[in-house]
Amino acid sequence: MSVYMPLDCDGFAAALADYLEGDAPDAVRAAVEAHAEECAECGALLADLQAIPVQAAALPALTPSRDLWSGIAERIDARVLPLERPAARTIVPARRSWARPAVAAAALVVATAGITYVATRARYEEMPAATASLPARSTAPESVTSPRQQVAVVTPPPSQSGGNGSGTTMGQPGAQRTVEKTPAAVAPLGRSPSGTAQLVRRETRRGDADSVMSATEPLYDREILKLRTIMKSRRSMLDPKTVAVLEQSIAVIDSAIAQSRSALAKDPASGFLANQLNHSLEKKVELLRTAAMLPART
Amino acid sequence: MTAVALPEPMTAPTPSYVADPDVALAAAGDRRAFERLYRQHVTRVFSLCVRMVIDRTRAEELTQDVFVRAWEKLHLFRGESAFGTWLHRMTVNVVLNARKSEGRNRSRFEDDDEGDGVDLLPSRPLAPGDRMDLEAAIAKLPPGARRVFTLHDVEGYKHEEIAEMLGVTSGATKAQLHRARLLLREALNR
Repeated sequence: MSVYMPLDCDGFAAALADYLEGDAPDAVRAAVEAHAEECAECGALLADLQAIPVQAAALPALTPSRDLWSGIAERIDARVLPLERPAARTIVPARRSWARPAVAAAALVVATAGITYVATRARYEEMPAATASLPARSTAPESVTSPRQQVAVVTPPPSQSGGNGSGTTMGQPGAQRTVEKTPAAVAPLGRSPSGTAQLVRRETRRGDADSVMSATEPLYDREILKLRTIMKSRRSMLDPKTVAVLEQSIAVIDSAIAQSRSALAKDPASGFLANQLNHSLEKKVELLRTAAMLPART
Repeated sequence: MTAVALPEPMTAPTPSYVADPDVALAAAGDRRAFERLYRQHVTRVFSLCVRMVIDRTRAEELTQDVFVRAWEKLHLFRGESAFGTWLHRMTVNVVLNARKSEGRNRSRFEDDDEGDGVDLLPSRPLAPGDRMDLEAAIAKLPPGARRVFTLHDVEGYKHEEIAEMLGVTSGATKAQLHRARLLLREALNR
C-alpha cells in the first residue's frame, strides 16, 4: 500500500484498516487524522468504524429458547466410559474406521459359533449326565487336553450347524479347534454406570449361566431402552449417513443377540452361550452410548 | 516522618479452579455442581454459538455439545485460566469443528465465503425506517467476515488467536474484520 501525504479520500480509505488496527506508522496516523478533520464524509466514516467495536463489545447476552440442561444431562448420563481390557487379552482391536463393523461382525460370528456349539451338544466341561444328551456322531470331541479347562469345540457338518451358513468361518466341517475357558475370557465386559459388567463377572465365576442372564438382562434392557430413547431424540441432529451406519451396526448386533438368546433357550446351562449373549449386549450398549455422545451432525 | 508505601504482600495467584468450588466439584463428578456451572455460563456460550452460526436451533445443539464436551474434559482443566475463558475457547473449537464437518457435506456452491457481501449492501440509500440493529446486521454478514467480527469485536479475541483458530494468517483476519465493519456500517446506514 502506498500512502501519500497529505491524504486524499482514496488514500484515507487505503490507510484506514491499518490505522484502526494500530498498525499504521506515526506519519500515516497523523495524515489520517488530519484528513478526517478536513473531510466530513471521511470523518464520519472513521467515527462510525470506531464506534462499531464499542457497540459490539456491549451487545447483550442471548438466551436459548428452551432449557438445554435436560438434553445435556441425558447425554452426560450416557457418556462413554473407557472399557476395561482383560489382562489376559492378547488381541487389541485397532481403532480404525472399520473397527465398529468388524466388532459387529465378530459378534455375529461368535453367536453363530454358539449355535454350532449347541447343535453338537459339546458340553465337555459339564458332568457326564450332560454328555448323555449328545447326539451320537463321529465328530465327538476327543478329549480335554489341558489342565486349564480347555474345551474342544467341534464344528458340525453343515446340515447340523443350524446357522445361516456363516459357520464355515469356524473351519471345515469336522475340523476341531480349542478355546481357552478362563474367567477373563468369558467376561470381556467394560465398566458401566449400572455395574453390569462387574455383576456379570461375579455371576459367571459361579458358573451359573441362568442366574447370570436373569440378573443382567434386565440391566442391559433398561440401559438399552434409555439409550434408544436418547438416540431417537437425537436422530434428526445426526448426519443421515452416520445414522444409517449406526442402524446397520445395531441390526447386526441385534441379530447376534437373537441367535444367542435362541441358543441359550435350548441350552440354559451353557456359560459359554451366556457370555456370548452378554458380550453382544455389551457391544450394543457401547455402540448406543457412543452414538448418544456423538456431536450433532458429524 | 515520611510515610513509606509498603509493597503488597506477594501471594501466589489463586487459580479459578480454587476460586470457584463448583468447578472442582464438577471435575470430581458432581453433576449438580456442573448444572450450576451450566446455568452460570449458558447464555454466554449460546450467544457465541448463535452469532457464529446464526441459526438458533443449530446454536442450541452446539451449546449442548459444548457442555457435554466440557463435562468430558473437565478433569483436564487445571485452572491456569478462568473457567469461563476455558469454556469459551472450547465453544469456539466446537463451533469451528462443526463448521468443518458440515463443510465436507456442502457443495462448493453453498460454501460460505469469500463473497463480497453484496447481499448485505442495499441497492439504494437506506431510509431511516430501514435501519437495522447491530445484532441483525451481524447476522447478515458473510460467514467468514461474521466469524472474525464476532470473535474479535464481540468476544475480544486477538487477531493472532483468531488466525490460529481459523487456520489463516492474522493479515487475513484483519482484512476480514475491516470488511465486516464496512459492511455493518452500510447496513446500519450511519
